[in-house]
Amino acid sequence: MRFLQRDRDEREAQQQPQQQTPEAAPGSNLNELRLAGEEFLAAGFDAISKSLSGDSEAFLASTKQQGGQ
Amino acid sequence: MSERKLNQSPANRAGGERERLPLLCGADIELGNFVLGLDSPNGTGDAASQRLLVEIEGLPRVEQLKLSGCKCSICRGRRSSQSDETGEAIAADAATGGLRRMAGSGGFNPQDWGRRFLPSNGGCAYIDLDHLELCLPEVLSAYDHVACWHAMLRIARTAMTKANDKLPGKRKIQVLVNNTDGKGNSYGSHLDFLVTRRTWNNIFQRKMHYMLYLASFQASSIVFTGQGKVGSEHDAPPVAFQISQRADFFETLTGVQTTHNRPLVNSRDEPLCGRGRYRASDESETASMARLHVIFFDNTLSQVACLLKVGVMQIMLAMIEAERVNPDLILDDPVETVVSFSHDPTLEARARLVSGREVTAVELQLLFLEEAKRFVADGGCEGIVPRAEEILALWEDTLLKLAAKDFVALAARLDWVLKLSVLQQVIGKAGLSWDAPQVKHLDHMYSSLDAAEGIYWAYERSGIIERVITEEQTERFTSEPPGDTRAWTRAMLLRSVEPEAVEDVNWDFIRFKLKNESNRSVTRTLDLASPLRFTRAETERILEEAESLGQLLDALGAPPAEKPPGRMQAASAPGNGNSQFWAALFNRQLTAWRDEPSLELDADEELDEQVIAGDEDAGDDELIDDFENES
Repeated sequence: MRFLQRDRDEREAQQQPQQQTPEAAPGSNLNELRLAGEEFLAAGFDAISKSLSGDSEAFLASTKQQGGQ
Repeated sequence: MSERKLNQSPANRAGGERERLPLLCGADIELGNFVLGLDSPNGTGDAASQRLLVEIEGLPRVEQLKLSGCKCSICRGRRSSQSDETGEAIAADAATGGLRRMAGSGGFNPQDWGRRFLPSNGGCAYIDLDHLELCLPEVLSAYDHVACWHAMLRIARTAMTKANDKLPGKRKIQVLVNNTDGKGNSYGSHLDFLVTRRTWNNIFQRKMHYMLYLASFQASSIVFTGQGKVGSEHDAPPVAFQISQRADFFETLTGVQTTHNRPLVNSRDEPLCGRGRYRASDESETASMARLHVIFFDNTLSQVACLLKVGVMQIMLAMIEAERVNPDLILDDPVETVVSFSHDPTLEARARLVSGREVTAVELQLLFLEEAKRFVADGGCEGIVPRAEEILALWEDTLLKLAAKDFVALAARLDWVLKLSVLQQVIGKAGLSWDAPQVKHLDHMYSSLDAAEGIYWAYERSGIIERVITEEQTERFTSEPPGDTRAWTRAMLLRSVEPEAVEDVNWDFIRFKLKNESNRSVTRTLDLASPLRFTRAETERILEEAESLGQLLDALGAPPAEKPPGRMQAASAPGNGNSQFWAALFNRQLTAWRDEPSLELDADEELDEQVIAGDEDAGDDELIDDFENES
């Protein structure tokens, strides 16, 4: 998977989200969160990579529901 | 009068000798469902939900029987969805709008179709609009709620697997345990709590600050009850990621509606305790009971989040029942605040209390916690909320971790934190932006019911997710009901008799068909009005010793045999007022189709013309009058 083939340096150089996420939080433990995220990625590798290797646009076109409660 | 109605427990003493009831909990939860690889302007929710429902074993088997002889295009379409599957059948369902077309014909309740109660655990399933809806059996303990919830998901997953096995080619039904399709359509994850009538009246009719107190608690509780969502909807301001799935969809403080202009605090008054609607003149055993229908929360999967969502709500309601309400904690504008809190996963957003003080969501929750700690220490939850001290401790620990922004620890407990952690890592590694379709795809797949594809389940298998229930507890509720509520007797009765003997079931009654001494068909209705009665301890021995259904009903206190009910008699039986009304409407429509060949339409255009002309409502007013009079 492409996202797992990149090393850490490359990742850190990636574009940061433009909108507010926990990275923007003063005092949030960003490094720990990132490291924990590495473990999370490994734990969910199969499920995540299956989604990413699918046709996301076709998937999103299918999700429409007719309202609800 | 129920023995438990005037429970003189320490909780009652803490509440100043007021009537208290155990905060029994139920849930009615819609799922996102659709057919992958099939494009339809109206979506494929109808086709998917129908195929899921027919794979869930339950009683009564009314709908299939009622539809079996009808030749109209609608019923043929419905039958096709219940029989062997072809790609064409699915496409036809999707193209014609399936259930929604049927709803438009006026013959069905689009929000309650095909309801079947499960002999396995006493819960039920049905179709609400185009969603499979799962209703959990009544429980007393929040821990049992978590186990029942995950058990019902397993039952739904089994149905999904069976349905998919019948689909051709690349078709696949996908089920998402979330609350929005990402296109502006939200569906609910409702909780239901047994409260006293006095408390219900206080919240909605007498003490408005109680409602505001509840709304303020709920608005700030998203920090542990949110599933997390990529983006915003429903004209809310743009955001990359937010804490709650539902926040964007709340528009008002209170109201009975659930599908539009959604309220933070829902005022639907439907006790499901032997009465369709509450009447002040009611002097029955369950007259002091009411049901608080809570539509606010997200679907959650993480066990701690599920537990806190129900357990802390039980504690809060116990406090409100005891009239231990601190108005200093009321938000100035809870509706606006839930969006601002949700749109800030940094947890820095502040909102103004009526007092003028500004607080973050976590700070406000810590204030509620302090109130609750004093209340529990006074014995306020004894006999009312099982394991309240444990819930309180977990709530406190979670809030302290939120205050410290210890997201590493919280990812094991809270869905929104786990989802955010995963998405951030993927975005970083893959160089994606938050608005990339792959990111929204992952957002949805977090909650996929498919064990191999659902991202949450991968983390649960890995052992990362913090557990509050055992695997055995969850598995048990796939085949056994809770023992401490009426769900136990409901399930045991449904599994004890021939399916054909069950004429109708609802939360608070079961009507049986049986033969009398003259071998004539009669019906008998067992009233299950009190959700706190008919427990295993009360009825197990009776069920074991009875030698016939008639004997069993005698022992359980069912009235003597009735005449087989006519249409309107059936509608006036005890139970859910809405379902009775719709059952009557359904019968009338079936009669119309049978008696008037001109209404047996094949052409979609003809039916559409009728709907547009308003003919689908012909006679409804009269029917409503009949129903009002008879019930």
